Amino acid sequence: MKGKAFETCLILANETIDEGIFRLSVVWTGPEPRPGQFFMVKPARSSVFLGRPISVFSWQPGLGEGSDPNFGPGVLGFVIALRGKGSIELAGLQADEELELIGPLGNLWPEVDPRARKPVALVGGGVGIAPLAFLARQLPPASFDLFAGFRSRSYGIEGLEARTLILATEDGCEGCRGLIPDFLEPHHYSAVYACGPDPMIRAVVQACERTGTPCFVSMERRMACGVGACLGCTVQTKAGNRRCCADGPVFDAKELLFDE
Amino acid sequence: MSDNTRSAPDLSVTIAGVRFANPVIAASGTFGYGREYEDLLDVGSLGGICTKGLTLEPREGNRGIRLHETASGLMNSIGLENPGIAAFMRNELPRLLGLGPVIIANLSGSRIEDYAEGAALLSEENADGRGVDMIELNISCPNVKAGGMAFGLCPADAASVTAAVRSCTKKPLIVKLSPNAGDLAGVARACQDSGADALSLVNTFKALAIDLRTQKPVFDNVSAGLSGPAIKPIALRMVWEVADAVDIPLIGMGGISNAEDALEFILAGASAVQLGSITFARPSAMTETIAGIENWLRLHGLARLDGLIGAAKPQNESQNDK
Repeated sequence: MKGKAFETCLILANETIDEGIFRLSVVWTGPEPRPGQFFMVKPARSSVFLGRPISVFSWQPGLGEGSDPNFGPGVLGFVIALRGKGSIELAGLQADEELELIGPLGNLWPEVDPRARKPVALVGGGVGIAPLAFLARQLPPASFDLFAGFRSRSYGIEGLEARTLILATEDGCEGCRGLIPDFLEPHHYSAVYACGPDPMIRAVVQACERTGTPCFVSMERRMACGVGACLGCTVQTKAGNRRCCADGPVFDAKELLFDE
Repeated sequence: MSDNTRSAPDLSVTIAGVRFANPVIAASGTFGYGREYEDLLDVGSLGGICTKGLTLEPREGNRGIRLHETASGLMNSIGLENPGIAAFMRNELPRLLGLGPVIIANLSGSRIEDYAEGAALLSEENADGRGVDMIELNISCPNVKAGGMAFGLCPADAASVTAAVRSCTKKPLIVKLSPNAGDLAGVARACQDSGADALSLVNTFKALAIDLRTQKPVFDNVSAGLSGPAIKPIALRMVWEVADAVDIPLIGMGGISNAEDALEFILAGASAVQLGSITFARPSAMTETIAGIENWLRLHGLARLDGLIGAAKPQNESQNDK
């Protein structure tokens, strides 16, 4: 079976879920996505040239009868932040319009060790919650703590069955006031899974380094192809250049080199 | 219905003695080593595949941002990241040779000696007498500090590197030209006179983007190479002009996105075309282009594609009527 496909897909819904944040629901008939993976996403009628790499937030398989459980059709959900031209175009799309998707792309979050005596921590910053929410829905209930940080209001964390939810906002509107890495004590966990803005990732990686806790990070880069051909999305690692799209987006934090 | 439309039109073209099943070639740097797109298109149906630019030594490529989208285009500053020719021959070439399309190794370097040694290494053949089908000599990469495009900017430099590589390989030799040359026709003639069997054009245009947030250039190298639909009409004009300057076959490229674009380049004098950036946006673009060319030939009752090469040129008009 082929691992990825290029398809034109129907949009079921496009909802604003916070200021500058929207959720797109799309019918996908290609190979089933798994937590950690992303798609190159572009409106079928578009003034931008390339798709944008967007992590899978949710996947609801089995739309329609007699479908292969490992294959669509199903409904893909993306949570997207308004950033630039590409995301602004995506935000303006409506139900019944079409998207062009390439995917599912990239590697997976590492398996959570079922024998580990400690739970895992999922740490998301802003729209970085998306790939963690997809993972959380596939983990046994209460097997993980969820650390979710936002600017002002939370989104994308409804229905996630965390043992404990640690919610922080920068302005204190919801949950604790502060930055989410300040609340993380990695030694309580068998592993930390993180996605979010660069400063947050650095803080989480440093905290995990201090306690020797395994840490896995979903990285973000500008991409053109999404499949490992163009070498545009380089992530610097101790073993040399890696392609964010094809060798990642999930990397073992101890392999990563951060610029000064 | 004429006889021509009953059987499938013949899309094959021959360049420097190498037969391509159709004129659509994956451009260097946009198709990895042929493996990355296997799930997304029928790689075996392509006319040819150009490898990512190869250098004698492994290269890490450039630091900082490497991609920047523009209106109908893409700027890149990858900087020839590649595993080196020896690793390519060992790890990638055996698979590539089994795919079917003509395999073209794109060769780059910083010094003439490196180009020459690289060409010799790329010309080695396995026990079955198989190796790369052609070499595309890259004298047009705008993203490396030494060599690369520097060799493609003036006729004398282009001649010396072409001659040096020519003396080290019996493989059919394509020279890939830079649109940044002041006298492109002169560079083209110099390559022809120094032993090139064919020319491919154009590589990316040297371009600039500035980040308003930092008020600094987006790319560490300041400039980067612009590709994509934005450059197509300029590239087409350059192919037209170079077709008047040389007698060897041309492979046209620069923003080609579909069969209509490809046919324009062929009518302007290209024997084949390369598609690059469009594959990133639309992985099916090359296979759609092949199908679109075939359809167009059927619609026009033409049995063969190769009769269209350069047919838009005034001097070829009478020939077309035959």
